[in-house]
Amino acid sequence: MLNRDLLMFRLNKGRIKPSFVDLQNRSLHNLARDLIQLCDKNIGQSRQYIEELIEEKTSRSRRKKISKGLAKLVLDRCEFGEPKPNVLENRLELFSQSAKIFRKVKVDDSIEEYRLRIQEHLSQSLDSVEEGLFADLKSRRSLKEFKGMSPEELLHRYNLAQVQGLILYAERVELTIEEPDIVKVRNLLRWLRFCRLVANISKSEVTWKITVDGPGSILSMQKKYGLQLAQFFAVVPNLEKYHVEAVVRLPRKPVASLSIDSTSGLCSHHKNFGRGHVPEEISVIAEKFESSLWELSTQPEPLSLMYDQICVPDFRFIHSDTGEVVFIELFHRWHRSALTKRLDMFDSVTEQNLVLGLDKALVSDSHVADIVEKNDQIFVFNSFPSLSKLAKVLKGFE
Amino acid sequence: MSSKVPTIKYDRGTLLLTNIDDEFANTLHGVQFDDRINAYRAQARHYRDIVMALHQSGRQYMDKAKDFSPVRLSLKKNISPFPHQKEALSKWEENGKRGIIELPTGAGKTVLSVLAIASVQRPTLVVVPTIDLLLQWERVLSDHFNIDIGVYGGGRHEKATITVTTYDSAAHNAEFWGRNFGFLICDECHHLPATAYQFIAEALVAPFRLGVTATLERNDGGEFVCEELLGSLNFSLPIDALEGKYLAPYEVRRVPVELTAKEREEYDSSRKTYLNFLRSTGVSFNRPDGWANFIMICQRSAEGKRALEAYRTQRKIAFSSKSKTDALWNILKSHRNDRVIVFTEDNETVYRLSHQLFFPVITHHTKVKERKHLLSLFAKGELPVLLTSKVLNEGVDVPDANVGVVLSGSGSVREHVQRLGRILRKRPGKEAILYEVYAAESSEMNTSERRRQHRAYYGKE
Repeated sequence: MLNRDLLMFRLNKGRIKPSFVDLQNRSLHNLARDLIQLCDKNIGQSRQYIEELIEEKTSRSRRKKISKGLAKLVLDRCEFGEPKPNVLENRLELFSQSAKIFRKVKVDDSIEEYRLRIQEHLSQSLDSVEEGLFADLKSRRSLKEFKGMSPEELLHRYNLAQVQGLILYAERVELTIEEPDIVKVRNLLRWLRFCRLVANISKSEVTWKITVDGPGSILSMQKKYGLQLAQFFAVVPNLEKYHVEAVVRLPRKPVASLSIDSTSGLCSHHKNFGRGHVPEEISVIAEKFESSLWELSTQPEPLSLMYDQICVPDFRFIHSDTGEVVFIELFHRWHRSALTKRLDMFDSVTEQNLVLGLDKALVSDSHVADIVEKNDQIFVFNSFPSLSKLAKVLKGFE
Repeated sequence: MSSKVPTIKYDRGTLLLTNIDDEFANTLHGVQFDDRINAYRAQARHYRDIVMALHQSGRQYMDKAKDFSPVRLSLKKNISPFPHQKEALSKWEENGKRGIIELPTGAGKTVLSVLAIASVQRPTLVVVPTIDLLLQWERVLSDHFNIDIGVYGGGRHEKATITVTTYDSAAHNAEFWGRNFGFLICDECHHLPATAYQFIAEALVAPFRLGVTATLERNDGGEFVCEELLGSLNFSLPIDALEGKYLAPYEVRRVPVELTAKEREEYDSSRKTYLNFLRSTGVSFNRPDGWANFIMICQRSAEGKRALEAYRTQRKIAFSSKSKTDALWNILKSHRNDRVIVFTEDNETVYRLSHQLFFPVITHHTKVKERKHLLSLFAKGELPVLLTSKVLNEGVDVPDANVGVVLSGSGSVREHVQRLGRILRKRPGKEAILYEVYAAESSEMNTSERRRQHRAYYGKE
């Protein structure tokens, strides 16, 4: 992410337009390459040293703001190590010695005389002692790992970060998706939940409109959701046809609207986003499920439920005669907190044929067991629901 | 399992109110209809008022918002509060166990808070501004309660019935912890109005709240935000009301120093460049956004960039001139058998002095283990001097410190009063001295005058 002072944009007639770098620009390509190589080649050097090299490189650039932005993104990919051993112990020992010497100084002693007396108690020169005195400070830590990337990737990250940097100052994001790949929408909505945001979703046959903001945004709460919105936006460029609108309130700038779409050329670094992984167990069920009455889909559309909940069901069954639709959402033993939230609101979602399947391990909780006992739209399975278990559930809707 | 009983649920810092009729909802302060979810929503801090209104209306309701119950929190030993502590606690209890207490440093705000926790008997979240205070609160609470105290911050992640955390950690976690605590204590609560921190008090359902501070007043009216979020000011007492009996007697000594000839020349030249730029652009620091405006204008031209650089240079000379180091050395020598804390405006000066004089440093870079160790050696008298920038300004209990040296600082009255407070903890026979070293005939003289506009300094020279 880029700080506000590194953002490049144009403000005109209430619209704000990020200034993207040209991915084909030779000199920027070279600068990106140099910055990446600089970190790559200086594994083991101190942060201060690396920052000085970067400063030297960027200060010579004619496009200082861009080069500082690229440098920030490169530094974000650096992992700095732990300090050398015994720095703290040596420092404490030195302070303990100097305290004893200080207690004995005379009123007319100069700083130099005091320092000389300390030197007498040391096995090394004062200069080298000073050099290592705070070697454990952040600026002195050495570069342990650099998560490398290509110059193109860095320039793509820069352009994306320009938009994210503006979205940090947005109150909400309105996303329109045309003819979406349902696997990607499922993943997008999962990501939205991960970002702890609220979405209002409406959809026509080919268009999804998703308004994203935070739960407290209507209450003048001091909580800002900009960071979460910016984090959410990072995956949006994975969609084929999208359009984003956001109202941006930069400090000491007029309010402006931001408009970005799939023609902007942005590229997400969340590479695995679009690959809808279908667990093996679900593939097996899809393969072996045989019914003349029910048609099965293992990649159903997400459901928008009451109280801003979004449900990403694992199965959708459609009855071939009546057209009745039944969704099944599975909760495994690692879904305990998600289950708590779903059960909390379950009374309000039963208007849809949503059935919950719970791993036996989750029912050990007496509160959950009580709800399962009283509710015929919840069933329990052991590790994974069998075909016969699913058939029994569907029987209830025939 | 569906029912139409009014229900309150907690949702990421807010309350969701369902099955509530519109007429009743409209009478509730802070409640708004959220058409995204077709339900009413309110900041979690309104929990107490909403529940009371539901109760008073005679409605049945389901409370799924709070996730805590009364707990038994007994004190290890009886505390006999000072009269001012007793009065403050009683005023706070009369106010429904909500509100703010303003007492000088050393007057026993932490012990007062311990008594408040024992009075409320609910899971408690204590929010503090610094890691040093985090450790200090942990120690005091462990001394008084028979349970393990949770510490969240400074690399530790323990949540317990009584948890101490920093404002930063609390702001980050408030939406996750918001329903778990019945009592919120904000130490040095004048920090709460910061934009990022208000969310802490907004997102917690905690019906009982206490803010403690030595200096509630802010220049920006933030004290009203504190009162809105924690409750009104219940009790206040100035330093001079406690000096001598409950706080150590003290004196203040101002030490003007002359810049060296070279420093003076560079200072005057830089200051002239900076002031000329201010005059030519008409920038005024009397406006709240004056500083931000100055920085913005500086970025627009080469002349502006030179002015900004000149501003930094003259400030650096005034803060860390050689004459100041010499003056500090003379003060330290005359107090070599005392316990001295040296305060500066910036970390750079602190580390420079440590390299030069080999005294230990506590800044925000100092890790918890080292802080603990240094403060303990200082308390034992094994370290005579601690160098610090701002992290020891507030709250930290260094009872044996009897000399403070302000080598540089801002014009903030609060900061100056807080720094004085570090050396006022009562000890038999203790007389505290606060030195203020400033560059004569420089802008620092005005800064010094501004920060001394408090009754704690009147008649003290």
